[in-house]
Amino acid sequence: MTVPILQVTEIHKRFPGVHALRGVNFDVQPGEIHALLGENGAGKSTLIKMIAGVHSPDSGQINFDGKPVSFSNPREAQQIGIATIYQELSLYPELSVAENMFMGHAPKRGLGPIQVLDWRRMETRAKELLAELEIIDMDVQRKVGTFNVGNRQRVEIAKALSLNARLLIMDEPTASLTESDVENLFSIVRLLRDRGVGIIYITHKLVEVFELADRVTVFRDGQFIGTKLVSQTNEQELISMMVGRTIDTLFPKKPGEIKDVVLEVRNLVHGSNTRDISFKVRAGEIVGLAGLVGSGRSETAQVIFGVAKPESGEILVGGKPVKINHPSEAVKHGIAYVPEDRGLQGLVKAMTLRENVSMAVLNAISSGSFINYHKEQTIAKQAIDQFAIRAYGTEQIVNKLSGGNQQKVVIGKWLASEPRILIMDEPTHGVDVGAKSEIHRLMSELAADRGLAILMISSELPEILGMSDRILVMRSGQIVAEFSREEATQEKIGAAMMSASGYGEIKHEPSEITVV
Amino acid sequence: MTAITTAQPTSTRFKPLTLLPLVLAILVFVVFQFMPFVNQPERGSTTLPVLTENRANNELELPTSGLILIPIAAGTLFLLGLWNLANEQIMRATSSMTALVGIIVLEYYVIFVMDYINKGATHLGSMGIAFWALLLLAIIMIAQTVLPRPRVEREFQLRSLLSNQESAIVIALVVLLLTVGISNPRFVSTNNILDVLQGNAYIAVAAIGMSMVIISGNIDISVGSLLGLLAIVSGRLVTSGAPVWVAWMAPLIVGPAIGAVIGFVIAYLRVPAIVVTLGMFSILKGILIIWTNGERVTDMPTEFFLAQMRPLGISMPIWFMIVLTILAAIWMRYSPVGRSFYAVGGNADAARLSGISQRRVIMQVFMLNGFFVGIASVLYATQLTIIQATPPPSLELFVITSAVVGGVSILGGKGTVIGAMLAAILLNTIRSGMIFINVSPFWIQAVQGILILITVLIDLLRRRRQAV
Amino acid sequence: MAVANEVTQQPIPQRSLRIWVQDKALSQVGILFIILIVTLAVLASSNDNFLTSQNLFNQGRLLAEVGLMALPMTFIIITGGIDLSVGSILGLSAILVGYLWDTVGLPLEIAVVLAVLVGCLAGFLNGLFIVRVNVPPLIMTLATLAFYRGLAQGISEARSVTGYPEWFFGLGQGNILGVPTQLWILFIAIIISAVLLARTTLGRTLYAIGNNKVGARFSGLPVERVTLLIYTFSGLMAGISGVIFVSRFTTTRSDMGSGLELDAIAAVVLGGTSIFGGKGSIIGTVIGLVMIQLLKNGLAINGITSDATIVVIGSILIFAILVNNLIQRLRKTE
Repeated sequence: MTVPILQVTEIHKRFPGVHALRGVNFDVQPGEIHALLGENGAGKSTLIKMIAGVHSPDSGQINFDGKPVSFSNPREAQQIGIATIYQELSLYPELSVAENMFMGHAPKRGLGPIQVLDWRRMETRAKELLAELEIIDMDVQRKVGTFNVGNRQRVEIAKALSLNARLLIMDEPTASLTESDVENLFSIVRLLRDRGVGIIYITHKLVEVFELADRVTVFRDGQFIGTKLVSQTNEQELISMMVGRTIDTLFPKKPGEIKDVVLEVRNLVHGSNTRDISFKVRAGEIVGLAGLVGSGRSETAQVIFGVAKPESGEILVGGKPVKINHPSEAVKHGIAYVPEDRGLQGLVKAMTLRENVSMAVLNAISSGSFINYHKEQTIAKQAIDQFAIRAYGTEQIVNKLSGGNQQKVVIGKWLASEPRILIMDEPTHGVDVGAKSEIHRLMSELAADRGLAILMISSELPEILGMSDRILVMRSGQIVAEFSREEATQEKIGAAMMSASGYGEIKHEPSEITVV
Repeated sequence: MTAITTAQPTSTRFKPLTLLPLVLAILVFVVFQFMPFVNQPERGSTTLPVLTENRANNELELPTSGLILIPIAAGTLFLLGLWNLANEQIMRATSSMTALVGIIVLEYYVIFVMDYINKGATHLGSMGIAFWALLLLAIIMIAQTVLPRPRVEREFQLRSLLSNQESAIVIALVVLLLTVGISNPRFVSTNNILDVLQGNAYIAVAAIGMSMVIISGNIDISVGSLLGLLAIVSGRLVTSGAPVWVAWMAPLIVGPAIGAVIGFVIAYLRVPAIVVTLGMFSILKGILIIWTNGERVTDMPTEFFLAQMRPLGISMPIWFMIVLTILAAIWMRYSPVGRSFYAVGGNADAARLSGISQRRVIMQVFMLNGFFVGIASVLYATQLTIIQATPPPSLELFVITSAVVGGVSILGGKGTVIGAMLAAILLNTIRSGMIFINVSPFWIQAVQGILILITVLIDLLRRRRQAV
Repeated sequence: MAVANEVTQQPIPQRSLRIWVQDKALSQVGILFIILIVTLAVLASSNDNFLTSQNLFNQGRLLAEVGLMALPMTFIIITGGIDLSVGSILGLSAILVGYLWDTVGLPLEIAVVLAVLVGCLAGFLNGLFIVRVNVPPLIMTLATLAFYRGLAQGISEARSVTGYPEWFFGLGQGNILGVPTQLWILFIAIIISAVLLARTTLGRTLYAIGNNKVGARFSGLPVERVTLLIYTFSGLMAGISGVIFVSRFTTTRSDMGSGLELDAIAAVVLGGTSIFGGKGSIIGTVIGLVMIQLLKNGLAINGITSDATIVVIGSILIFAILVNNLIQRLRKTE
């Protein structure tokens, strides 16, 4: 075994309120495509940022080419030979391809005593680098912004080559690519691998892992779960590594009466993530929406909530069609949305607990426009008590709270609006075990006792299986399967979540849900 | 395997036939020097043949200065053609050169014929417009072949030459000159045009610095006050006995110094540019008023009046405007520092990754701005025999409008100084044109405001479409 | 429904009066207030004329126009935006008063109302483009600063209008119950604005937008509507100020209000509102306003011309942000 180009040992990283990486061990060989697999928030991005020099680890060590390194900024990592390609490409849309590739290290020539940019050499060299990636007729003088995403990504990869990258990190590179672009990307990545570049390929798509990678490492909740040779594993095993958790973290579901349809969605269309979606949710029912990241679940939920306008289709609340053009209208119809991105979409972090909890019901607790502080305080205290929020008081700035407590604030906010329909997007993501079980109990009681209609989006199969009365599975923007509580199993759901390529065999042995 | 575009790459093999237009150009140049059938000059200090016609009814006269420019332009084109040949840009250079030379030659023939048949004034007036417009177009075409910029379309095409902001400005200029010129021919007399250019060239010079500031993603709304202050500095120096060259150089030192202060507060003390320059606008204006006590500066020695000199028959401000713009354009294209402005303005995070320090760029750009404002202030101060104690009103607005209309995106990362210069010329011509058609010039600022709004909107919409 | 957990039994710590005073005193507003008192004392002792009601009311008259514009400016800056066009809107409505009355021949009352409405409309236009087209507020209001000023200049053609009826001057130069008229208007506006900001859903929405616009929107707050409202409000106040301005100056000139946006922004920022948004208060703005006016008064008393005071205002603007940055950085490290 050769010296790994990258070795990461016992890395820990904490952010306020969350232990993002716990004792991660990871290595990449030169001339290897190493896939990094895991759901959102699993810790992949944090690890990558650490390797790229954006953050420094709290403890642990990073070795590059056998030697220990520590970076104080991303540029140092770049200079050693680590190139990173993020989803938001790091390009200058108004400048040409050649210039984008060479910004900061452009070839120069002397004109008398001064150094001027050598445009001809820049363009020639740019063409050469692109040719190494077997791209032969890209106009290097054209503005990068005029190219489509696939081509822009290729420019970024060529840029990495221009910096003599020996380790290339790619963060979800196929997120916005068309199918042909994806094929092109794969050939380039294989090409680079054959030239001895070590590649870390972050993805949540299993297909890509099996088509491209040599080894795959799975992350879950900031923990390194395991590394496998791709040739020695299968999709089922990977899925269970990604989402499997112990059963005893779940709270037994309270049975309750399921009544009429409260929310109905018909033929909803919005972009490529919401393609002809139809389903119903009844009062007292918990519908679990399963699917891998990118299947369109959050997007669909946000269309229902009014964040985005549907291109076509209908939404019916209580049997009546409604037009929801803005979240404020959704709230008026009794819809609440606990979002996936807690920090950006769920809370205003600089504000107090009280202000956050009251944010969805400001009009309700005001007489005229005047906020009734007494009522606000009451609601806030109720939330603290009801959800056992660990805070110093209602005036606590929510920024300082842990992930689980922050989530409770968000839930408290939305429950204060007394919704009929509650959409929860990854409700226990990044939440500690204790809080998780409390949230599950809460959901169960809300449905059974209070008759709320709950749509629960989750990537954790045990959660889906444990909490849902019905399970819908989404894939590529469409609903591809529906199971009742009785008939659902992890295998069936997992199978439905996978790509339709029929890749890999579905083993019919009962799989164990294990925690590694 | 991975075919991305299907365009054929431009051939780089030498084709002898492409030299033919070059040869033609040389022939034309030579012939025009020695044409026996052109009128000999009645007045004028050159030995080159001068085309004149009846001066009695306000008709157009091609000035001696204009006639010197044409051979110079033609000669420059010839040299450029050679240079481009060496750089394998044959197709572009010769196609643009051929078009230019052809049109100019054609125009000469038409003028000559008109003159010979003794046609009326209006026709000749329009000819003068065409002449100046084409000269400006020549500047653009030269600039775009010498300083090729990032292309929007796949290949170099004549259409792309005409579909960019600079060309749009020139077309707007021609339309303006034609429409106003029809109702008032005096507007398009070369004298008037030269007056407009000369009197306002300093604005174009200031616009060079402003373009750089905006390209880097910042803004400066204190230019007017700075210019007024520097002008007084210059005037006071010379009236209190300092040598003229000192009075000329002082603004070039004080300007960048003040720019450095502004840059420092923005870059290192983290005060947003809009606020710093808003404050500086008042601070500098106040200092100016306190210092001068409202008194104008007069009695400058005659050697002081740089702006009134006319080397080679062309007024000095016009020289400054054109030469500085061209130099700045070349610098912005060929120097790493210049490109770093585009980088920081286009994507500051990516620039940081590329090793470009945003702080350093801010310092550089504001010092450069101070330098150009300094030069502009000298031109402004030496234009008339009096230097006012108040800064030219709304100058910053004019300069910003010039930059924005000239194609410099207010969001940063895009634009050229040549565009800014052309837009300054356009705006000044609009202002002058308003007087000529008896529209109150007080509306010029409203026009500026609308122009900024429209240009910004178009830019925003274009960016949004591109981002998809 | 409460989960048995002793953590929830923790009482919410009562904030003692001492801590409250300490916290307020060390904020920018607090420090400013102290400086204000000191300045008042210094000015009062150095000059007998200073503490007379005549002088104080006169100062009040002078600061009323900027004051009216500084109130919506506070709202706007709290949301992270800015409005550079207020001075031009003031000039535009001032010109329109003269134009509509003198040239068009409308009765003065109608002219005044229309002028204020145009101010409203001008602000609305700003807000519309900022919300619908997503033009950055800086750029939009910079362009309208030019455009509205241009309109004013074009309409007025540098002619001044004079000869207004006597009653009209009551607005700018008269008193009600011994206090200048415009000060009454300002008082009312201050109280309304302060209450709006501190106690209503509108105010809470503004702070939310300034801190996290996306989060505010996802919580169902009417972000777009509120933004449109505050820019319209800014235009309205500028329009009213324009009318007061004319009434005070007895003539209309096309460059009226030019540069007042500087004063308004300086007052807001001096008063502790962060230029980056999310923090601020009306009381702070009022103190900032008074401070600036006091400074101008103090300078004038000592013989320095009003032109020169703009140096001071400009410096204060930059300085205030520096201090604000410093305080925020200190707060973060503790």
